[in-house]
Amino acid sequence: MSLRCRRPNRSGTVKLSLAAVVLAATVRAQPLSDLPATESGPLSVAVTTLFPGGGSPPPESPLVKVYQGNPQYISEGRRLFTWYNCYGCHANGGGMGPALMNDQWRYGGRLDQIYASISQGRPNGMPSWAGKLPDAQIWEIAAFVRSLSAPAAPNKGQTSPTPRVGVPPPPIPETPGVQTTPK
Amino acid sequence: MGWIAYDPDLNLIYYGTGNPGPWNHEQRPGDNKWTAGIFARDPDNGAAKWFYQTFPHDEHDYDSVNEIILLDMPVDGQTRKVLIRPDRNGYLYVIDRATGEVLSADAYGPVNSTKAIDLKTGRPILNPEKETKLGQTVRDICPTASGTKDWEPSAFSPRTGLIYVPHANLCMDWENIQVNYISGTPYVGANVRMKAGPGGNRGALTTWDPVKRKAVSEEKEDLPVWSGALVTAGDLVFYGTMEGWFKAVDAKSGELKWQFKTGSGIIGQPVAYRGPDGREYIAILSGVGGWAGAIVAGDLDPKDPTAALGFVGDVPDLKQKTTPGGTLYVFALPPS
Repeated sequence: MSLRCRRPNRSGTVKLSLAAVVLAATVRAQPLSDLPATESGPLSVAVTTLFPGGGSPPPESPLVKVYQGNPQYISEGRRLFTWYNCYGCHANGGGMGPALMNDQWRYGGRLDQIYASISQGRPNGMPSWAGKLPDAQIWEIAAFVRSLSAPAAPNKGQTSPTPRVGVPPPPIPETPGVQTTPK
Repeated sequence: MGWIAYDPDLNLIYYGTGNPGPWNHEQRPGDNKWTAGIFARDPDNGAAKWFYQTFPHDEHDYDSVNEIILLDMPVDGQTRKVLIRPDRNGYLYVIDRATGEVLSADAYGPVNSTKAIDLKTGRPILNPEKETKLGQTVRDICPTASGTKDWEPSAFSPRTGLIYVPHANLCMDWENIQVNYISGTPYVGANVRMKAGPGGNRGALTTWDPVKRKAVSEEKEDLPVWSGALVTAGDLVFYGTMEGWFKAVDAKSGELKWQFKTGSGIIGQPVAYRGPDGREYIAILSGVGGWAGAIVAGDLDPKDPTAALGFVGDVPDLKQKTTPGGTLYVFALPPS
């Protein structure tokens, strides 16, 4: 089996990945307090609704609107979810590690919060994928995870998939065993 | 690796080895030597005396870590030093423990993944219809990855000459998936869904006659029996259920003599001991968990039958039948 020859990287996602690396380097180079809010990115996302001194949570990442409920990204995220062994702990959403389809979130269920959990990792076994996966793929996996318990109604503002220039549509995975609902 | 048994006369220890990974067997050709088998070793220098591979090139997660019971018993009219192994793959083996020769292997629950064990070679004869395949869901394979029984130990009574085998009655659908090795992540390579086996009862306590090579009786249980069994000189067999019942049945008739509902499902091992006060006690840990109880202990979602490597598929109702726990119960027998 030539597993390792079938990396799902494509040119578009690689470019996004490089952009993310540059951004991460910038973040590390500066004290957090000096950062303008707009540059702190989705990794500054809050995982709680409690803030000292009556503070408010950082604004939702603008990328949430790009990825949330987008069938193309969700489909690709589902493929990557298997490809990167996420199913080994989370199964097809039911879990062995934490379940992902029951709409209960330890670190927040907003799409950018799910992105942050995948990117940063979480205690008790969730690895950090930042720097290991292209940023766009993390967003796609987050979109898939979010979709497991999202209401069935489509996002009104997202009637067609956002086109990615020069990127072919992702293949529909042929995995008849991957189901998120029981037979 | 599971239990270790020791024979002081032959000066050998016996233990089993785990299954090869990943579950997708098409990514690991060959016999995958030293996996899924039984070792006999000299405890003084560690040297292997013999090795018997219960499942060369495992395709169904039939590892070989279950308990080993050492008996001296008649085989074809001659007393032999044997070891007994009720295996994950559904066969109860009788093996000459001096040489590793397989003397018999009989199914003690529903099995269709293999047709028999070839006693000349010791190898299972695979059923080609139930071999697992990439990108194809093979349905109704019996037993499951968790086995006709898992690690929960059986008990032997020298008074009755019978073995009391706590076990499951489950089958499964299995689809191989190409899997990448990624450090820090599970290396599985299969989608599995388990379900109740023939008859619908998901567990049983089977009483087995090792000389006659057949079941004497079977106490059916709704849920897989994941606790060990204990048989006493008073001819009582103790075991627990995943609903939380701690039961005592008659070792000869199988009749239920006593039961007590503990606070959580039982996957522990019953223990009998004499206290400093001279009275006899029976102890059991109650607290569901492990592979079988992961849906309760980990609060998994019953909507996904592949959750907990497929085990949620056969116990989606477990949250309605028990709750998490962790309590040691000790029962005193009446003063004699």
